[in-house]
Amino acid sequence: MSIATEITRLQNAKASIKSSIESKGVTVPSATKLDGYSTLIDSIQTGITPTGTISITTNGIVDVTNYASADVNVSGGGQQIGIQTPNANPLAMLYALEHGTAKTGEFTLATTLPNTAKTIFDAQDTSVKNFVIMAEGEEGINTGTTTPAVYLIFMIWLQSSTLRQISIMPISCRNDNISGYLSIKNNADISIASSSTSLLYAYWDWVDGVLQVKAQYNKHMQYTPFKANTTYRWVAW
Amino acid sequence: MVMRYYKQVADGYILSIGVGGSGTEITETEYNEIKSVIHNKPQGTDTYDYQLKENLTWEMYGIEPVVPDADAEELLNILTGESND
Repeated sequence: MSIATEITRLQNAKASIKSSIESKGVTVPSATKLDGYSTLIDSIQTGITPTGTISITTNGIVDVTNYASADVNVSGGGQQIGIQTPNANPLAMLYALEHGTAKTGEFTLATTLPNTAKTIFDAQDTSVKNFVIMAEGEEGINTGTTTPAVYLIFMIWLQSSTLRQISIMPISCRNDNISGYLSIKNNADISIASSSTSLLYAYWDWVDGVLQVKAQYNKHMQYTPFKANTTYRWVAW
Repeated sequence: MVMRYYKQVADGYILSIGVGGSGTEITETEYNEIKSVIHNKPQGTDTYDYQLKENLTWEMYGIEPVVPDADAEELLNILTGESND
């Protein structure tokens, strides 16, 4: 092996070492000779000693590499209750109302809902997944002494694209004035059976912030979830 | 906060009025006028009811029987208060 070949090999080795040092973040001046490389290698940072505390106040992925500890204090957004996701429980509605992100409105039907699907309200926000509908009424009708009350007609929230949970909670109702109960036929249907003489039955669809309801109204039974000449208020979040 | 009043019209009849983003925007004056008419809706019966025309007059219509899209067992459950889950 010739001397020239050996020199070339050493030059290539030096160039390779220079490249490796620079890949570790240390600049190698062009005039550096081989015996100066050890100093540069010693200057390569070999590790981080974490110090201080990082304060984390929002959800998400946070780089905590350089910190010895993290102070996590994420408030708001609701807490998981039972099997509900944070956005799919009534407390999230209160949170959305308080923070101005909830959509609200009201509607009054002029007549009984037809037997074709009609838009009941459009929240005009495809991100909303849940809603409640409320109506003002009276309690104590059967006792002769009535007082104003607000009734939560029904509440729908989506836990996923395929599962819809429905709840009906007549608020401020006496036991003798419960309006009925609600049962789920399948993902897209609801039926409300009243304890009084009327029978309510309807199909609903809740997609992209738009509630559509198709009544079934005929001379034998009244199939409609909403009365004409009654103002209902809704909240969607 | 500016309130947006609307009316929802289908086939020449006013289905509903409201506050929010639906339907055709109307003035508060028109909203209150329609609401006043709705408050004076004539009472229907089991065989006929009234629907509100765009000119704010009521038109009587007959209620035709409709066969619900459910089987007999489901209807029986509704009548008897059983769940259809």
